[in-house]
Order: sequence, then structure tokens, then C-alpha cells
Amino acid sequence: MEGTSTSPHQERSLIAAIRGPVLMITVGALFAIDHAGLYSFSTTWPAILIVLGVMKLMERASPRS
Amino acid sequence: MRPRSIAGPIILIAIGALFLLHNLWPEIAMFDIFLRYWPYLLIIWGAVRLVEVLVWAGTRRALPPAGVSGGEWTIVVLLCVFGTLLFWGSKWAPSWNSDIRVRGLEIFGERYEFPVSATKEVGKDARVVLDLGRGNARIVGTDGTQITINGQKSINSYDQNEANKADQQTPLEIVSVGDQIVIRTNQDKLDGSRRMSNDLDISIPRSASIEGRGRYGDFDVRDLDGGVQVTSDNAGVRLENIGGAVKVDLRRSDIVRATKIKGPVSVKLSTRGRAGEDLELDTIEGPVTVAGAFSGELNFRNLAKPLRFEGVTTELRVEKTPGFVKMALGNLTAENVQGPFHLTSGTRDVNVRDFTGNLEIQVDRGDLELRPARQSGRIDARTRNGEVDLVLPSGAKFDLNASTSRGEISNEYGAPLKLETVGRGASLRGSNGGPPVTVTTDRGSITVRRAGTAEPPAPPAPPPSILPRKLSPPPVPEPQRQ
Repeated sequence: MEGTSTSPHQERSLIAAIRGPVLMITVGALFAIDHAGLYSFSTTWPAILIVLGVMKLMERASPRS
Repeated sequence: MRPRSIAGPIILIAIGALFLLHNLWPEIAMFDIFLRYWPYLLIIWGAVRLVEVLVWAGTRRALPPAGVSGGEWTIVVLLCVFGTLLFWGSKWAPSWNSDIRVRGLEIFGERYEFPVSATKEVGKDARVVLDLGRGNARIVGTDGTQITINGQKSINSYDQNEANKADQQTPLEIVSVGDQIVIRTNQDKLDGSRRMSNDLDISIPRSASIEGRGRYGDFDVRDLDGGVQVTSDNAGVRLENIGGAVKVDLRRSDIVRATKIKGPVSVKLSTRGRAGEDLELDTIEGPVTVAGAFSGELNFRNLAKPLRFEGVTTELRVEKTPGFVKMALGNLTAENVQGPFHLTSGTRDVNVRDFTGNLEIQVDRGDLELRPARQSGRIDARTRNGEVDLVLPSGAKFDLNASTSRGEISNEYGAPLKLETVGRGASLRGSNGGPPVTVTTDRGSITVRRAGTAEPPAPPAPPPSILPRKLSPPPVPEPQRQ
């Protein structure tokens, strides 16, 4: 099952594993933008939803085992 | 076995390093830095995890079900909540953040400028109040009995009409209120988020006194016989040739400079974070009081009356300063001062030369170098961790008692001093009938020398370092680092 790095299971869990870090970077970036006085977090928070949605889509797009 | 992340240990190391930095240099505003930059922690943390996951995937190791664990998310959420609350809290209390907004003005519309001017006949001894708001004021005392103002007003706006309206809403006025003459920029009458600032050249009668109030901007005052008082959230203040009392009360400041002041001088800044940067007081005839947190250099020169300084961890009192006292982050140098000289401080290298009167120094960590003048009084100098170098003038009278609990003492003075080794430390005693001279270190070596004798070879000045100094570099002749 772990024979190849491109096995569907591996790919899906890779996306699941990446989700947390990507989300964390997004949140950090939004707060940094907020503190720099460009756009406030209260305006930019939907970006988090978009990022989450995109990750979910990528998960679904990868073939099922 | 599932691979384990390196993020945890790295965070532990970073937190440890931050606290160590804070303990060694309390003057560095860790808190402010944290408030400003904590989101980058999240970005770095996330990036570390991302790279890890990709590397694990590349090396075909088993991947964790989630890239970020539940415990980590808890920390992240707490960080976001506290970071945001504190950040906005510090924003409402106007502080460093306000200047960033002023510098970023151009983002919000364009800048429109309007010339302003006003004149009013006032008495010779007028008490003038300047309500400046944002902007800079240059105030000069002149012969005459009137106030003359010339300058310009900048308004940030999206179009000319709006700017014109804002200009009309905020006329520059000189009015009498009770026994005071008030100069008003009326910036508070401006509604909405437009931002304006005034840049004013003001001349007032020489014998008048002035009280300036501002939010952000500089005050330059020259050639007045009356008193000067400046209150602002954030200001650079430069005063020259003032006859009366000077009182400066600021929240934050990049520079406070006062030269040729006849009256007492009092400078007060916030003790939070990096409230103040540089301070320069030169040729002051009255007593000087300074309080607040400074991150830059403090210079005191030619003070006829007592100096009193209160910092975050430092307290200094000097009776008279014909020479100078200079303080920077982590060191203090004084030359030609008269005691009683009293200093308590945390981490600081102290170098006092050519002093008379009593001297009392206590520091937690730092090297001491003392060169009393011939007629000095009692000396009591202690450091808990550092070297002591005492240079006595030949022919001086003293009753010396030097001791270290851990370290060596080198007696380059000779008789009548007697060296004694006590455990891992040593003591050096001797008297020729003078006032008591006590130097003590808990950890470090002591050198007692005679002025004029060969000095030990000077090592290159050490680079500024946040790490604890090594225990035995030879005494460094100043200036160390400026």
C-alpha cells in the first residue's frame, strides 16, 4: 500500500496534512495585513473560508482508493 | 513510528531566548515588538509544518492525519485572541501606532495644502497656550508685543472640494481665554477620517511663557524668557535659550533636547516600552529631573544643579555635573562630576572618572571602572557580576576594603594594601587614614591601581552582545561603544 508515493491514499492524506499549516499561514498573513493597517481582519476573514473550501475541493479531486 | 515535528522544540527555544533577552536588557521593548510582529510567528510556524509535511511525503514516511495538532490549534487561537486584544488595546491608548498611520497618510487620498497665518496684539508677558494637535511648531521669542503665525495646513482628502470644506472647518485662531492667549488649530472640529496637520512658525513676545499641547509632531522653542511646557502623545522637543522653567511631558518621543536653560527642567515620558529615544540636556542652570523609558542615548552636560534620573531599572542622582554623564543601553559614563553620586541599575557597565564627593553604585551585572579625583569622599561600589577596576590617584587618602567572593584581586597599588585569599575569592585591605572606599563584586576580579602607572594592554572593544559577558576580560578603557 505504501509502495509508491503517488498512491491515492498517500495523496489524500498529504492534502489533509497540509491543510493545517496552510490555514495557519493564512491566518498569520491576514493578521499581519491587519496590523500593517492595510485591510482589517474584519474585512479579510472570508479568505479563510475560501482557503478551506479550496483545500476540500483538492481533496475531493484526488482519486478515491 | 510517526515522524515528530520540530516546531515544538523550536518554539520552546524561541520563548526561552526571548525571556533571556528581556531579563538581560529590560530596556528592549519585547512587548511592543511582540504586539507588532506576532502574526509572523503564525506564518513561520505554519511554514515550518508545511515544509515538514512535504519532506515527509517526499521521503515516503507515514504522514500524520493532520498537519497541525489539536494542541497546537489551541495555542494558535489563544495567540490570536491575546495578540489582537493587546494590539487594539495599545492602539486606543495612542502610542507608537499613531505615527505609522501618519506616515501612511498617502494611502488615504491625496494631500492638499493651504497657507495659514494669523496675528494678534498681546501683552508683553502673555501666557500663551498652543493647541496644536498634529503637526510641527517652531516658536521663537522676539522683541515686540504681538503674536505672528505663518505656516501651512495639510489636509488629506479624496478631492479638492472636500479639502476646501475641511479647511474652512478648521480656522487657525488666536483668542483670549481668561488671562491666557490660546492659539487653536481647531483640528478637533474636523469630522470624519480626514487627517490634517499644521506646520507653524510662531513668533511671540520674548518675555511670554508658552504651553504647547500636541498629539503628534515636533516642538522647537527658542529665545524665551518665560517658561515652556510641552505636553504631547508623541513629539520631538528641541528647546534653546529658555529663561524660565521647562516642563516636558510626553508619552513617546524620538528626541528631547534642551540647551541653555536658566530654570528647572523636568522631562517625563511613559515608562512603557520604548517610550523615548534620545535625550540631550546641555548647560542647565536649574535642577534637572528626568523620568521614563529611553531606548537611545541620554546625554547630560554642564548641569549646575542636581540631576535626578529615574528609568525602568535605573536610578541616578548626581549633585553637580560640570562635565558630563552619558547613558546608553547597557552602559554609563560620567566624567568630572560632583557627589553625592548615587546609581542603582540592572545590567550596566559603569565608568566614572574624575569625580569628587561621595559615590555609591550598585549594579546587578556589569563592569565598574572608577577613577576618583584627588579629593573624593566615601566610595561604596558593588556589582553582583562583573569586574571592578579602581584607579586611585597617587597621594590619595583612603581606607580601602575590596572584596570578591569568586575571583582574583590584583594589587598594582602596592603598600599599604594587603591581599588575602578567602576561599574562592579574595580581599584587599589597607588604610592611610582617608574616607572608607569599599568595592565589592560577587563574581569577577578586581584590580586596584595607581593613576599614571602603566595601564594593562587595551583589548579591542567587544562587539555589542546580548549574551552574558565572559568572566575575565581585562578592564576596557572607555569609550566602549557608542
